[in-house]
Amino acid sequence: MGEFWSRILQNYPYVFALALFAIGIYTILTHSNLFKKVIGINIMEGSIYILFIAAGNVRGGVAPILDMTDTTLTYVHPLPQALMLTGIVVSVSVTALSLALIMKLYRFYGTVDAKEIMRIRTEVRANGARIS
Amino acid sequence: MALAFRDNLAVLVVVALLSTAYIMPLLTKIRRFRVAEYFAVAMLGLALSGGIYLAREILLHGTFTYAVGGWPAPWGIELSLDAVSGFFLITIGVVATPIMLYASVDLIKEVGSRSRAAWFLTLFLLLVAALCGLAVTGDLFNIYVMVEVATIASCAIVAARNDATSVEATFKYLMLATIGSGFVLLGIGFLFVLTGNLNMNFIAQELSMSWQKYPTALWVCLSFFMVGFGVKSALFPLHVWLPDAHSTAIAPSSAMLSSLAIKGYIIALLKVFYVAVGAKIITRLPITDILTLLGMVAIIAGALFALAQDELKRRLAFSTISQVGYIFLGIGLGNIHGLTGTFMHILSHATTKALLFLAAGAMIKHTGKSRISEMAGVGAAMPVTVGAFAVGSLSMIGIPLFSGFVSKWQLLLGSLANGNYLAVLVLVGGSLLAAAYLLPVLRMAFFERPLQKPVVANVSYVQLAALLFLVVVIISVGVVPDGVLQLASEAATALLGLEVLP
Amino acid sequence: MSVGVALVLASIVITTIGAIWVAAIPGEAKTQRHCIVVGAALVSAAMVWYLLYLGLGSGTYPAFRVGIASLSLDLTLDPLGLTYGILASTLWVFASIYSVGYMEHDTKQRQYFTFFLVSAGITLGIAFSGNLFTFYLFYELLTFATYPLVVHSGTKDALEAGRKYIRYSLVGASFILAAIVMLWTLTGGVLDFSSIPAALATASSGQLRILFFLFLIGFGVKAAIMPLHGWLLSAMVAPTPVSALLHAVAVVNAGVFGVLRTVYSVFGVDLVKSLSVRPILLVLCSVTIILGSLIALKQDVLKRRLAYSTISQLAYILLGAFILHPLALAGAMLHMIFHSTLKIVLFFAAGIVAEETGYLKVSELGGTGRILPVTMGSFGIISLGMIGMLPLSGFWSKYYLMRGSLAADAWILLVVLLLSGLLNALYFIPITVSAFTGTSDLKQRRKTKALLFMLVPTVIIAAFGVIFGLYPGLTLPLVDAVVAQFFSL
Repeated sequence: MGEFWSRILQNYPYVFALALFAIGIYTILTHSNLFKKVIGINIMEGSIYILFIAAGNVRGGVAPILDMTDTTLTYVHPLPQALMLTGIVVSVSVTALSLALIMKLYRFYGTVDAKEIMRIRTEVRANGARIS
Repeated sequence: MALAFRDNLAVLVVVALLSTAYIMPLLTKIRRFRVAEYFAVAMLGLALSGGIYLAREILLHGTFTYAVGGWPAPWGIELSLDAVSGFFLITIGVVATPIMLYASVDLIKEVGSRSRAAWFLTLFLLLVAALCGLAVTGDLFNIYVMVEVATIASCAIVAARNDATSVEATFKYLMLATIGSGFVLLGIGFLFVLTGNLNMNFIAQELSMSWQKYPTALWVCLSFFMVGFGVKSALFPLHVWLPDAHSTAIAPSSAMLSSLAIKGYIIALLKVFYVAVGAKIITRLPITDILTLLGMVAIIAGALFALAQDELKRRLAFSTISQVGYIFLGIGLGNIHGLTGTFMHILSHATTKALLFLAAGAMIKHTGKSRISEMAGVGAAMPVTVGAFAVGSLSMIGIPLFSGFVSKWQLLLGSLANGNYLAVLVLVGGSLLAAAYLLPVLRMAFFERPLQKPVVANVSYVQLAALLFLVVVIISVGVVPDGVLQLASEAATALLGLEVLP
Repeated sequence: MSVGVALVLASIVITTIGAIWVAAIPGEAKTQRHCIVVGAALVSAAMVWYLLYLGLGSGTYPAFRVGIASLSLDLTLDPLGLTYGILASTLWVFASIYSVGYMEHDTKQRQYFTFFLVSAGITLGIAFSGNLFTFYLFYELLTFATYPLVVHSGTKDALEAGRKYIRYSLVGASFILAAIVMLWTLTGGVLDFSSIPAALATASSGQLRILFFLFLIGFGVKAAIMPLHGWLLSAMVAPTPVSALLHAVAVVNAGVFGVLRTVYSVFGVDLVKSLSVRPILLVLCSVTIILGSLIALKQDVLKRRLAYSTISQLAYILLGAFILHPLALAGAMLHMIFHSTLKIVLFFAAGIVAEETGYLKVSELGGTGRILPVTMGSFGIISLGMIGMLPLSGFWSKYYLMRGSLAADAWILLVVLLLSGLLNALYFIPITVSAFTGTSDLKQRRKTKALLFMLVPTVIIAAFGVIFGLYPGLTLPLVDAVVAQFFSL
């Protein structure tokens, strides 16, 4: 049992990352406010960045910018950082798209609460009118 | 010049489509002759020919790789052109071209305004470019990027119609798809941590040496991929976004979504499982059993839900969920016939579902109604369109001489090779259920009296041409499947690693 | 490509071309359409007769094979297939002439005749199939091609009947598909009729029994074996020429043909004998024979009575097949031919009565013999054939069936056959008697111009019933060829 806990402690970045991932998904799925869902997406994606970058971390390493003067330096693995830059870009695009969609939904329904929207929709469908 | 063209064809297909996507807004400024739409169709046609050429090359000369930008692996991104790529490139070309042709007719009216049409074209071409990228890539992170581009583009084209319900459906799709992407990225992260590589071939080499040290980690990683790609490809029970997305989207978007977008993620899953991880490891884990089970459940559940739907497009949406079950069943079977059946079904379902959605779109526009029970007598007014729907239905049911039978036969053989009689039963039952939910539409259209006069004028010739193109493809694959079948079985063999001695 | 192979393909294709032509010309071009329909049926039948002449003469039969992936589309003639093919294509000619008359006032003739011709081609495809894949393909297509004919009138009953028809047929077809798949694994990929029996020799008898019953249930739906006969009754709502075709020629005989193929071409006499399933099969047939006739007694609607009679008579053919004796098989083949020719006359007559007098029920048919003497006269004579009396053809098929039962030591079957004959008499003879002796309310018939089109085919086929009764030897070359194909004597 002790070994289990010591391994968890040793790999704390990954544990944090997975915990954040779970929190992010929980937020997306359970909160009814659309903005909170988008925040959940960002938390979730943020956790993955942490995982990747932690994976590339080298103890005692410096930022991966090549310094020709000092040949004894150890650098952190540059690949995950580059990859995560791409990932951040993707996350930003997804966030932008979702926010635009939320704005449109607000214009149509007058609310940003998912439950409210469902209610209005079933009401409208029952009354036969169209939402324009 | 010609040599450079041919050598770089693999990346050229993707790049050309991307560039065309970005000049679409410019082209739509030209108001005459629908220049932008036809240019898009021409570009897609070129992509199709490029795909056919590449597939031929792969059949003749075997797999080859291409280093993007001249940087060799592992420093650069490597594209690997094998039978899987060739097959999927052909599928994309064959299906996207008629969908674009169909869409070009009424696009501005359907989406609302000329500027929105410009964005629709851009997103459509981006989606196709991303799918082509998924087909050719050999690098895990490239898969992620392409998956993201495809996700965003397919979400956006669902919202094409400026309508409350479409935007709602898009938002739900975006949320769930992003959760899926999160899982996929997490899986990639795990593989990176385990092997330190992102190139799929290198990962395979590393894993085959070291996987026994981390079986749990690998298992968790693979389940992340399964959930992530499962959400995106509407595997039951992760399919909840699909019916709403389909019933509110315009016909070309639904067709594109159901036929190609979903398949792209399945191809990505196949690449990750069989190229990056390798068949030898996959067969030792119970993943294939889970996929078989989920596939069988999806076939039956999707079909049963479809039976309960009166709205035509929702019925077709649940039909997609059922047919995706066939594909996952094929993956789960894990033998040559099973995987060949998977690939053939990817092609067959893509063409068939596109045909069904496009024909349904025409029928809905013609009658002004979206429910099957209100579509009596449509067949008399538009015989060719409903006839095309009939061909699509027969192919989906799996009647011989249509492409659906070829894939079903391969899946049946695969099930028997594994001794899985339950799968045989489910496959046959699935066809019966498909008949049960598709034939009533035909009966309503052809054999019942219409209650009132139709709304809109006839289907335009361009749209009929698109439908007929798909009909011809379905029937030719059904009657003379040899070329594609050989490509599919080569793809299956390559994935299973059977040519290489263990 | 030799003449034989060209003819095989042409006989199937010509009706399809005719169908496309009919679909293309406008609805008003009636004469042209009728000419195309009768012409296409005639040419196709002529080709099949010529193939019969070639085959019986030389003893070798043409075969056409084209591969599709690991399967192949195989059209190979043999005596059994030719029997069905001749029967179908010849009777189709008569049915098309009859249709011209019957559909005189119909509004949807173009749709009717298109699918009429398409079904003709597909039936020939079933008859000429040389392997199970081709058979399954055409069998499935037949369901879809005959569906528009069943729902032709467009009424609620017609659509309900169509739904039932498709449901039964598709479920049956999935049994066949499952059986084919199972066979594929047992034989290692052999599906041609000529090679399957040898390839099956290595399978266990338990597996073979399952396979046999899968095929039996699958084909039994179309062959209307009880309790799979439900679709046939509701399908009576179709126009009379369609009922005549479905119940005498195409669809039900396709099912029977399928069972014959299963017993003789897929398994072979010796293998079926080794399975010891004969008792169950014979019981099944006997029950269908007796029960069908008993229920027919209670039917007042004429077409329904004829439908139950068909169910009963088809079981005769299957009985002959299951006895597994050359004489019984000869009886079965003769009954296939004779029952079709006799039953089609009965249906045609019923259709004429319906069109001319509007009467559909047996109880209303009193005195119609005076208004329609030729029609009811043919009905009367032919019903004697159904009972099995000389000098009609029906006698000879029953004679051979009885001889076959005796030779196989199955005395009980003799009783079944005789009892059924008695029941047939009970439900057929009163119709004719009351037609000529009873009184009717209708003084004059509606003189439809098309009566001649309907009457002539009826009388001609009725004449054949008598001719075959007097000279049964005419059919012997073909029947002997079939028996010789499966029993090494």
